[in-house]
Amino acid sequence: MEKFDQQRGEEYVKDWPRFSAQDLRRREATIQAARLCMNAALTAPMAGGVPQIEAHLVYGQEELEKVARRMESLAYLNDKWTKRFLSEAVMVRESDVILFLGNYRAIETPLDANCGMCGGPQGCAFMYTRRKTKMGLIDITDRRSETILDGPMCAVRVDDFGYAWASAVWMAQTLLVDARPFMSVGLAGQKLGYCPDSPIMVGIPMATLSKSPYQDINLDYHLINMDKMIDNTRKNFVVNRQTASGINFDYRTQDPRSGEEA
Amino acid sequence: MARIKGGDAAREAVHQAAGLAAVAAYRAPQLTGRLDIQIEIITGEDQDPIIEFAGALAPISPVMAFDYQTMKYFREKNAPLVCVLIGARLDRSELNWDCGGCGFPTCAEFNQYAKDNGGPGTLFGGPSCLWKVQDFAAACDFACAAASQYRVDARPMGTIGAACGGVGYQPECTSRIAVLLGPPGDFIFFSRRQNRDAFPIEQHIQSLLRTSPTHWQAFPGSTKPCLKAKDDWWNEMEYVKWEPMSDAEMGFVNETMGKVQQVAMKHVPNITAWYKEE
Repeated sequence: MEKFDQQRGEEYVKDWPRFSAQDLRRREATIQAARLCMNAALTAPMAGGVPQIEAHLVYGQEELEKVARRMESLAYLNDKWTKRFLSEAVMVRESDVILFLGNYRAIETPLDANCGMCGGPQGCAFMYTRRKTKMGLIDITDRRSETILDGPMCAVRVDDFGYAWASAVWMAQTLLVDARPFMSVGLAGQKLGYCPDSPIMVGIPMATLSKSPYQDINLDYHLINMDKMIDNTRKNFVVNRQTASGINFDYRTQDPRSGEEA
Repeated sequence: MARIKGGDAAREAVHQAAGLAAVAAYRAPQLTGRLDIQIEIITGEDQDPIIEFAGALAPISPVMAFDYQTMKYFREKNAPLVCVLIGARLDRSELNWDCGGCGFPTCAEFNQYAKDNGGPGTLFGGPSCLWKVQDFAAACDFACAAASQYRVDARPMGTIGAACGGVGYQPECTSRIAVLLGPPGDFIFFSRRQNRDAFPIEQHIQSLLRTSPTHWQAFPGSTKPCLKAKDDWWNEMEYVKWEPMSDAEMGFVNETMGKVQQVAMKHVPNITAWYKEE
């Protein structure tokens, strides 16, 4: 059989039920788009054209849930994060794929251009005097940190990183795929070990649904969202069938309505 | 019916692209949702103070020299080169995320350090909140991407952004990037053919040897290898040395910085006056 004879078939695609075969076909296209976004991040403008970006694609119900739960545990480390992180965890659950991006040069191999972005007039001395070094080489083996991120970092590398994730989002928008960059998702990804060489990360959840999961977020979204509403419907309706009328007649032989109503 | 010259149409189109780049920069996604982006579009004779400042620094900064030569070349040709200047203030954080990325345990300590010790560096001001840095970069990236969609050459330049700041543009910003757009042509800001005559071949060779000496290094077993810096490198061998700048070199740097300061003093009052009026 020639290869072109094998390129025939039918694909049924529908976004419901979630994670059904027809929904997974839809998600597959989002994952392909995420790969293109990843490449866009790699070709973004960088100071000196230096390669410094690594990426991780994460998809699948269990994998997304793992990220969402880590975001929920991080949410309670800082009052300023709580509402934001809890809402964004819901968005992750509604996503098709997460594109994690990280900059692997932000600490170990800075730009060393004395530019001033990290510390101002001190130039590179700001960072080098605050890290463990020998002869201008930064030792990253001691990864203990009292803060959630291990600063200081080379701000120009972080600046380059902004170009990278913005280019990924630009590509998503060009492909009409909903996407939004989040600090919270990146932080959760970092704690889960994605982009293992990067001290700073951003997570970009992506989805191809009729309604973007990343806009028009209501209050207390972690309590009031589609998943919760559906689950409450499941919980209640089985009871409603019994309490409303189901136990008071035999559907085979009886109908509580009379005449034309029946 | 009208007959429009291609050059004139292209000039107009590059100006329009600059406006669209500004729109894209303003609507770029933000991680913080709190960064105020400032944008100005600088064209024609208003670029002259920037070029003068860059030219004054060029003798001690090759990267500034490359961008200075490019801007100067197209300005002298009256080509449609447009500068989209994007700036932001990154040295304050009201986020209270206390992430530690900047090197301080809390945003409050970062703000206090910035207040007491912050200020301009050689290209940018600092310290900077790393989340705001990324939002600033995203704005610059979207400006470049918007121009690129129309096949308008774009390159974000920290050098020219610093030159803009040096003559007084966007005085409240700590970081500025100049996204230069156009003029139409083949790879204007990359493989810069227009710079060919500005830099002699000896300078190209010297630059390669200085920046990648290990590539020309002879057998290192002596622990003091010579550098194969000429065809008959075995005659009168030459070696790499490292040492502080000589007094003469330092004197040249200081003298150049003095000239840069004079250029700044000449233009800053006029340009900063615009902001006071606004």
